[in-house]
Amino acid sequence: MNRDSTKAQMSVDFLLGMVIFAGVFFFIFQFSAAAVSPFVFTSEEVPTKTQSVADNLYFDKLSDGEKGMLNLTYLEENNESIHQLETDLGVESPRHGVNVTVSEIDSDDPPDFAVRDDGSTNSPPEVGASVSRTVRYGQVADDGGLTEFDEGDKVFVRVRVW
Amino acid sequence: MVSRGKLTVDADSGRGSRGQVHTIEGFTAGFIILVAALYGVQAVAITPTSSSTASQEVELNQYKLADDVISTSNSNGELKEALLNWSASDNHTVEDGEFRGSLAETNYYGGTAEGPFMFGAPIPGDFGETLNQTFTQRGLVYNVEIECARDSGGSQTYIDNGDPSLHSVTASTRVALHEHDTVYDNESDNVTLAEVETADDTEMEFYCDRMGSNGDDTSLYNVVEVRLTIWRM
Repeated sequence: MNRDSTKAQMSVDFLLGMVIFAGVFFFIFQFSAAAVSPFVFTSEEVPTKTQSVADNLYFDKLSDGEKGMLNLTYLEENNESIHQLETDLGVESPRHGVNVTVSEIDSDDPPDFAVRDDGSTNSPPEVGASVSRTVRYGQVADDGGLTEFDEGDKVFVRVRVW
Repeated sequence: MVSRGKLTVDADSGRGSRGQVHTIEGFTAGFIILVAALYGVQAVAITPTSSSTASQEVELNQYKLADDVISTSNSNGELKEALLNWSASDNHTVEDGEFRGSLAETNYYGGTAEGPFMFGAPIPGDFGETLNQTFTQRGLVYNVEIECARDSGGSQTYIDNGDPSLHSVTASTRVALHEHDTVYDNESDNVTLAEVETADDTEMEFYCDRMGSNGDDTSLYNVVEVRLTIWRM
């Protein structure tokens, strides 16, 4: 009787041990994943950042008051400094990169205007980097001194983030 | 005998204990299988009809573009001009007026093979040109629907290119129409919405009635909601 009871006790111990082990394993798995998630790239991060940057640019930096009417003064003032643009739009360089181009809707290629880094084109994203892009539409209400555009031009503002 | 009997009792008692443990093990195993199955179902959620992160990004980009186009067109006056490009006369192929240059036997623009504005052909006016340059040339199809304010005319189709796909997106804006805004009579002369409203119903019609009554101390005629729906072919 004692021998059989002992066997049963051992089985319960084993089950209890397995449950505790699985619970600890599950906890560590969950905790470690949550602990590192703020520091790793996710598939949603770049598209979300792209929308954030584009909204900031479209509704704040380029807004002329009425929705869709654009004032390009900001781009003219920051034409030679992609770094200022990155700072203003909340792009954490070098973790992320950004590229902004503006073109009339009937002349897509090449873009009429691009923010340049010290006179040269921005560094392209690394090979294999996650790149997200969005296109915003608006009408130039104030060309801000940019000779590429006239007031009344309809333009696409393309934002690319990686 | 005593010894044998004792052994028999012990053996029965042992089987009873093992049975309890087997029951617990069975429940535990069932629970583990259930959790594993649930985890598997949660982990593999991609079906032919489920939307992925990529398609959500595409739809969001399309929505933003549609919202930009309809809002900008409202801001620069193109949209209102399009809404008022209306021939109010009954003396056309369609009774109760029509958008000028609309499809034969309809009062709107569209993409049917019978009409002059098959898909890809521009809709008249600056708003039509904007739609063409922003959507048609990018392989996007669009419908535009006008909704009059409540109890003042219902809805009116502006552009009909067929049924939208499951992944279509819709952006909307509101446009205020005033009594002094003009449409066209059968001689292509300007006629105000107030004149259309007071004309005999058999002579001229606009797709929205005046909100409230003519005695109101306001020149506001109606506030229409314009819905732009776009989708990829």
